[in-house]
Amino acid sequence: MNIFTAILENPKEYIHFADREPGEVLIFLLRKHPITNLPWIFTTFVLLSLPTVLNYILTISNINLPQQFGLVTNFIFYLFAAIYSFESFLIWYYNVYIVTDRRLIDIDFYGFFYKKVSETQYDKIEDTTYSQSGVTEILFNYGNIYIQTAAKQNEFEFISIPAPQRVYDKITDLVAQKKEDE
Amino acid sequence: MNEEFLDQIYKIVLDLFGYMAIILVFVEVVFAGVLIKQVYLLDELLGTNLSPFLKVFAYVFLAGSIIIFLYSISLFFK
Repeated sequence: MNIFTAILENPKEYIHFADREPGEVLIFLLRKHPITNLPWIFTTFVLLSLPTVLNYILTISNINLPQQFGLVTNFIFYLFAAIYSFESFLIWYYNVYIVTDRRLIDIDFYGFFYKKVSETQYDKIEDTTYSQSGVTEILFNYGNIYIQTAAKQNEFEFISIPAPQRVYDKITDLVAQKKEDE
Repeated sequence: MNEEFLDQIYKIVLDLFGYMAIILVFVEVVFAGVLIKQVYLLDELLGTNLSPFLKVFAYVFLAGSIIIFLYSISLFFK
């Protein structure tokens, strides 16, 4: 099993997630498509190259800071680049959408101080739509799924997930099956 | 006179820079602490094979931040 995968379908290995009920079958574990990581990877490269560029500018401008100060500045830059990239990776890695045979779970994790877990049962789902727009979404086959529930909560949004049509089909099948059972 | 004045300005700027560096690195130490707590919380939320590596990275990051913090202080108060 690839631990960096953005779409995991019917995993054979047991995957632990909070409040997993006994016997609950995991159907999909989804993350945003890996291509959505490009902006923060690019920013990290820029942050990592900034100290070198700044040192070069200071050298050609003939400004001589004490060596230790230069060293500390470089380390501060590298530490900020490290914390930024690590946090961005965590945001991607732990922002997951889980489809099980009983419910949908949306784990939102944004930045240091925000985390939200919401779930809905299939019998509460009223409407499901999916969309793919733009060149990259069509090219790399990813998109969004919007799930409207009967409850007063906001609609569920699976953002930038790979193969949205396949996931959409599965969710609508599960909703139809749940309604037939009732 | 002019050179003396410039020297004083230079020293003040370096002092300010030192204070700023210490504050920035201290903020990073706090972030690193939060990050460790966060990795543990996220692990409870969704345990994966990657969790041990993330924990190790977070601890390495905290250690690095503390070392740079102490080094900045030692430079400034030397």
